[in-house]
Amino acid sequence: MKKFFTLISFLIFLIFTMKYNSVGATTMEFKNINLKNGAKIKYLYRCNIPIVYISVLISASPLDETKPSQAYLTAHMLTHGTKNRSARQIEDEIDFLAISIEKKVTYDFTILTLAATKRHLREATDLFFDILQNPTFPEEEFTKEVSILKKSIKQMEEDPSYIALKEFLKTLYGDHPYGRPIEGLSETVEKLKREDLEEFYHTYYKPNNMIFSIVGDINEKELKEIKEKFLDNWEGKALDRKITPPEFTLRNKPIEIKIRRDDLTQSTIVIGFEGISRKNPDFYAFTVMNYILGGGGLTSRLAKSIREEKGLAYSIYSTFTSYLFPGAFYIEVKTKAENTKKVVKLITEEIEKIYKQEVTEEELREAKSFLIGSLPLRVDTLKKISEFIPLLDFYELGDDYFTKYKNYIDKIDSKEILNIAEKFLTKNYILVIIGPE
Amino acid sequence: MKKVAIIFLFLLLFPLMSYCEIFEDRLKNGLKIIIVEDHSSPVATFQVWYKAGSIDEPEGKSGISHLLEHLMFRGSKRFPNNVFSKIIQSHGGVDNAFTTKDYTVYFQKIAPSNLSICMDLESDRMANLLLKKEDFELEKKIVLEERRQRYEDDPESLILEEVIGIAFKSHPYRRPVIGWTEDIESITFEDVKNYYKQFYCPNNAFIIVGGDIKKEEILKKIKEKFEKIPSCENKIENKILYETKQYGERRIILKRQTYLPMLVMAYKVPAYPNKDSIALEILSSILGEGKSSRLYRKLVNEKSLAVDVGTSNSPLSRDGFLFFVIISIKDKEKIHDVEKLVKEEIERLKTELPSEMEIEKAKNQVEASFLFSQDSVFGYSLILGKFEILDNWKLINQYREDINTLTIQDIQNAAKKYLKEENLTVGVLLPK
Repeated sequence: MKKFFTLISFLIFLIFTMKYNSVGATTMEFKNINLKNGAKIKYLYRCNIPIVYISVLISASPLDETKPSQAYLTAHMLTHGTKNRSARQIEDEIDFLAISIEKKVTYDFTILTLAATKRHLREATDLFFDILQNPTFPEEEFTKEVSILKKSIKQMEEDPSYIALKEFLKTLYGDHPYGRPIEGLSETVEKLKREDLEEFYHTYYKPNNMIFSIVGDINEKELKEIKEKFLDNWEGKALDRKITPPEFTLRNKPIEIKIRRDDLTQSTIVIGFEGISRKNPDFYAFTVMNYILGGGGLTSRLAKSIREEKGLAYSIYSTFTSYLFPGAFYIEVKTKAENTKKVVKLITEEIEKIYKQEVTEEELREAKSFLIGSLPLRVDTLKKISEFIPLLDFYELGDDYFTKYKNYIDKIDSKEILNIAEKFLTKNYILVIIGPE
Repeated sequence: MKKVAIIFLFLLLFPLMSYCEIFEDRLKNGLKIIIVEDHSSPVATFQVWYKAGSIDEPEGKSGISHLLEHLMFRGSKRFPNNVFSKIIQSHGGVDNAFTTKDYTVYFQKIAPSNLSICMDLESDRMANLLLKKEDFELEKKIVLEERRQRYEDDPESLILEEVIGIAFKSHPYRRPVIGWTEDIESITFEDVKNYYKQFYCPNNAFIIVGGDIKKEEILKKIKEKFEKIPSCENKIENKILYETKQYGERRIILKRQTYLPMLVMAYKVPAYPNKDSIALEILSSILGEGKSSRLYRKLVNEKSLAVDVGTSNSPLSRDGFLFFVIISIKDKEKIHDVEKLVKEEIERLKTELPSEMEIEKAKNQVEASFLFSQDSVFGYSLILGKFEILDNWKLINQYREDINTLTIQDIQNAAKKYLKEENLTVGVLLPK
């Protein structure tokens, strides 16, 4: 690959418009259905391919955990046994029907996505709602999963990028859930009991805590059948989440953490600061600033300075994570160990430049053109649409968000970018280096 | 009866597998154009495929295709100074490229109204790449960093590179796409210039444009931009590819800092259109794809010896490649037990016919993967391109027919013919 894919922040957090002014313009006109039990459904009919996606976003994440790994393992154990099916039966059905049920846990929510061919939709929905509504978390399966998870975490802990980010977040957030890996920690995973999952499930997996999206070749009659069969009579209510924001500690000087790994040829460097929350009005200025500094692939300042002009790295990027509470902003790069100091210096120079001088008109224009123009690419498949539209409700962006996005970006000027950079990038940084001596 | 059942099922499934219209044309200079009209989403993709991968590289110059791929972004006559990505991104698009053992692809994803920009850029770098010495030196440094990141500091990729390296003795597939460090260092500026001249010509390439487009309009524009580019003077000759006979199992043991040991078993297998390659696809599904597969059940569920199991086969290759079984093992003391169990499962495939349920499952998976691949016009175009590299994208229809006529006996015969010691290379990654 020519480019290590660095447009990460867009892939994860950018919010998209579907109003699209070009050949074959389309709009995404989904329907909203609010059920009595509090569940919401966002429905979009698209019949060009006989496939269907059903996603469900559940407001349950590490923010709600009483023990690490609780949210992650609860989601992952849903397919390990229900009142009607054993774990093996579930696996058999998933593979035989060639469907997939993906489970993603983020720092703010859990999202499950079913993908099925139209031909197998009925069997697929039966299974999907069974794992969602009737999981049993069998002891034997739980023990096996914990053992596999522990080994997997240990393996991930050999990966320098994983270690660097883990150390960075731990230093930034301390004991707050945003400060630990979503899957948990190898040293604590065995303290979890199956009852912890059961409790987590029964507290949070309730219809009023769920936003569904149903997208694809499924007509209104079929939608109605699903709604009546699985959702209308589903009872239960989750209580309001009791989640607490992180408390950042003021740093009087930069924090530098070095972890020695003599088996490596490169240093992995992560350097960063506190970021912003998704609901912060500065989100858009931050988006543009990040694009110019390091989020814009090979065209960003960091990529130009460190990779394109000096050949010091293959991958370098900046990204920011925006959650219900402030996320993080960081830069990651890998470079031959002997170049470590040089690269850190170049990064800090670029950080300084962006908070001291306004970005150029050309940079601003190009960043905005990309951010606005590339929106349709972010929702160019049914799967992306299915996983995206529940976020409109979750982050309270509104269904008209699609049409507003252009204005949100368009109005940003270079002064706002300078202000944002001054506000967030002038603090003392946290630097983590993993590599040989 | 079993054969009849399978064919019947597939006739039900496959008549309507393509949900967009596909057209083709060829320009006077030999450049083939494939157009995929898909109006489901207001986006488009432009892809230029060159039949130039590591399989084509001269001895001692492994990595030259990939290095040239990097240099293709540095500038051309009309668009000098590293502006390709800048131009695409400032029009709301994304661009990238990748090199494989068989080909190199340059692509953009962009609004359909901006496709002519892709044509401007791609036609200019096909005809007039500006190769500069200073860019060449910089990209070599970048590629060496890429190699450190992706292989030298990543034991799981390194063991795969090592296995492929010894599975083939004479065939160019033994060379890694990124190249060996010493080879990358030894590539000269002249080597890259010659390689570009030899392989980057319209008669050794094809274009796939897909998305919310109109074929006449697109074809007219492509002709304007690309038809003037001259064909290569010397017709590219197809290399005679061969692999010398293997007399017994080969083995590599790699000790690196890692936590989970890994077992890699790689059998040499044929490529499509050899029908056995499709039988091996079904075998891969039965053995190791999904949690209901035989190896996952045995090693992860029943014996608790492994953390994960996977199998893969690459039928869409220019020549026969490898059928992989890859297992992350819990305990290094149990590696031999795991290997023995895998071999027992493979022997069982040779002596017992797979169940009808397993065959139907495998075929459901093939159907689903065809359908889901069409959710993205970019992804679907990539699949068509892989068939075109073999000969013609229309082979995708023959591929479906070949699956239709596959019998359970064909599947067992393929296991007997290919999954044997004389085709096997084993790699073991151990914690240091």
